[in-house]
Amino acid sequence: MQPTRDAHATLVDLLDRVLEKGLVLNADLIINVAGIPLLGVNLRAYLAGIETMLKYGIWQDWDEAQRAIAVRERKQKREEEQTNAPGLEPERYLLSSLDSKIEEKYSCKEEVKI
Amino acid sequence: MAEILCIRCQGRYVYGVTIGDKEVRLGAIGIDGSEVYTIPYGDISAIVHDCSTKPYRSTDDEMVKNWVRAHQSVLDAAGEQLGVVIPLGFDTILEPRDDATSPDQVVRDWLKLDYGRLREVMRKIEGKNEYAVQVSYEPGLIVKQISEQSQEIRKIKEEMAAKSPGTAYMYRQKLERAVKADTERLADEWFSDFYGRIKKHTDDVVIEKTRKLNNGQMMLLNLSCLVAREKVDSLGKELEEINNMGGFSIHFSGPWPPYSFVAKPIVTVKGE
Repeated sequence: MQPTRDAHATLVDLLDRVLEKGLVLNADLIINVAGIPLLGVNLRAYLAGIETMLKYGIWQDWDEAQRAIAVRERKQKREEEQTNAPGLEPERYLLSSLDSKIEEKYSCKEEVKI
Repeated sequence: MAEILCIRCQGRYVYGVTIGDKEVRLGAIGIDGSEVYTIPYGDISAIVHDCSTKPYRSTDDEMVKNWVRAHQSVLDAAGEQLGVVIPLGFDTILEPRDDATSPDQVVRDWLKLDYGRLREVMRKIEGKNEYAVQVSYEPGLIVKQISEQSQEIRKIKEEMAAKSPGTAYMYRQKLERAVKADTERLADEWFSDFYGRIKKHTDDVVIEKTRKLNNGQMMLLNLSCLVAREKVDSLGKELEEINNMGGFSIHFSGPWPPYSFVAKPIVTVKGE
């Protein structure tokens, strides 16, 4: 099986990555990082939301607040990972988050047709 | 109103960081046809274009998609021409803090500040790419398989057939619970099995949230895999085998720049 980069078939993979991932810069230098949840399929809704906020003039504060939260979370995460991760084997580190992922995944799967 | 006017060009949109100590011009391949070039510091360079200090925003999602595609194609071109590339996410723009600093200097200051971290990330991703792997299954198939195999479910069904409609309703609920429990058990088994089989062909794996699919299938696992060039074929073969089991469909995309493996701070490996 060969991997694909077909533009149509991989659009969601692309949006997931470019809009939500990638290297994070040192916070002092950033004027903007789209660290606000931007989901590919909901781009329109998200962007329309921003327009509305701009119109009512609350964007500035909201943006500042979002950025501050994002920076704090990143910093916190970094500290946590630095203090926790080295003590765990990489394998266990991954698996410890696996249980909750599974639970999360199947908890919404209520409809079973027989 | 998404036209980007670069009047003062005080911003530098950063696509990624690559290796190289010379300024390289990559041409007008950037977002909205911007000229893309590199700003070196020491032996590493930022891949940038000049822009205003206003972030890219639009209500037209086709336009945003085109920006995202352009962002990606710059990283593709840089990877081909320059070698290892650390990808940045969309809309990362640097601007000078004061009038005394030039925009290029800000980029160099950042490269200098993060030099150690950037070299470490490069070492980790050198010769590797990211691949997206998603495995989905047909819900009808799993239920059929369970119904045929489970003694308990067969028993409930037999009993149910002989009951009055009122009692049958209770049996029906019992049946649903039994099927649900079995479905979860089986899906967990598949998850662990596939995860283990895929992981051994990778250098690192991130478990992503599963997505809702609109073709009626259920996504069982969604992984971002960091894979060395020479291991891509063996990963492809493993996925082929999973595909051949029947009942599963596999999405395998890439190569991508390692977006999912550059955001985390580098954790010192034991023994280093």
